[in-house]
Amino acid sequence: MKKDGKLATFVNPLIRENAILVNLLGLCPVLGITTSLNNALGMGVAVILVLFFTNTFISLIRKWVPSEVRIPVFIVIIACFVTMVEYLMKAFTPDLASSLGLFIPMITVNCIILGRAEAFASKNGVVDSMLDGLGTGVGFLISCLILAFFRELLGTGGFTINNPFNNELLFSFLPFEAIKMPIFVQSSGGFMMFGLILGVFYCIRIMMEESKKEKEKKAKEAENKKIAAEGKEIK
Amino acid sequence: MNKFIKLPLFLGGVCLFFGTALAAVYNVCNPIIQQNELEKKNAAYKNLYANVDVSSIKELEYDFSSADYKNIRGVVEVPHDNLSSYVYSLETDNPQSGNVSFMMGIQKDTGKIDSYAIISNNNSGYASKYENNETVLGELKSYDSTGTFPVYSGATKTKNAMKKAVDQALNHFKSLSLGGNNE
Repeated sequence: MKKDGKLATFVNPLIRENAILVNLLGLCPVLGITTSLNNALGMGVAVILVLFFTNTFISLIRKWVPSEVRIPVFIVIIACFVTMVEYLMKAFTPDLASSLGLFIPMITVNCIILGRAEAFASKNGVVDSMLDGLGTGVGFLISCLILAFFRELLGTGGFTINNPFNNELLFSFLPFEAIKMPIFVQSSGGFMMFGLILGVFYCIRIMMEESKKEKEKKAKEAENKKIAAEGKEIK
Repeated sequence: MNKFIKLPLFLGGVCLFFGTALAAVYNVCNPIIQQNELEKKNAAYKNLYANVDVSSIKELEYDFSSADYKNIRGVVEVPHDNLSSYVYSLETDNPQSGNVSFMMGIQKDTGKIDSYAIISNNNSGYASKYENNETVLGELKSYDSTGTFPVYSGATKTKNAMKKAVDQALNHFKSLSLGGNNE
């Protein structure tokens, strides 16, 4: 990969190749934990840590891993880092860990992690793999936060943010509590909200692509006119 | 080297390396996790009894493997306010209304329910109706003599599941009072 492509390695997975909104990977924890901003932030940080370290280690040992056992090796590495993150969360953010529950160990089978290990880290250098892991993780966090923002706002009527280390209330803003729609903090509401966000995201993407095409078309037409005018002048 | 030796050796080496790293992290985190759990437990007992002496809480080892006590997760003797109560940790087993974990204290001398607190519930829609300690406890206190379990509209399944667990705790306590000690 070219050196000038390093920034692209980090930036592309944020929005353009976002694992959740574009590739629709790893949706199970996303729908399960995005009931509040606190949970989304916790899960996002856990996924960033796991992606960063697994990508780094897999990239480091990629030349020595026999292709026949590469998937079991990747799974061992992923499971190890997920368990480490789980221990650390249970020790330092116990309430967040109990709130995320089974979704933390389930990061092991999240297809984003194994997908990036197999598709990127096992074929690229350490720095690129680190950047890809960070970018994909931050992209996951952004998607989770967007979904959690709307689900918490509509489902509880506002936002409640707790300190993950001691569970103290940091911020509570519930202006629409009287008209809250609890369905949005349930699984069915999660699907609905995800569908709506996906629809809006694709509309924006299509509009941007159309406007890009329009600009290219106009630039081409202007160039053709310029060439035609130059031709006339020569004649 | 033969593939059948090389591959398992490589996989074994990877497992050994990452297993060691995991053990190191576990050794660092485990004491903190245990301390957190102890603090959580103590906070739960303080929620049940304001003047509890957490240092003298006694774990009681009874066998709850029988189907008659399948919702009982454990029991401890809690000294408080110059009295002593048996606090049962109970968990409902009704997946339709979500599992509810709660604690209930039975006063050792009188055999009456004297405390109650929800620890966690997976179904806020139904179980949250049983979260108001004072209201539920007020009705539970007379449950043993009147047989009327607290009823909240829309929470029938939760009520039945919790009633079953409370009955098991009361039956177990009665069996102890009658000399059926299986300690």
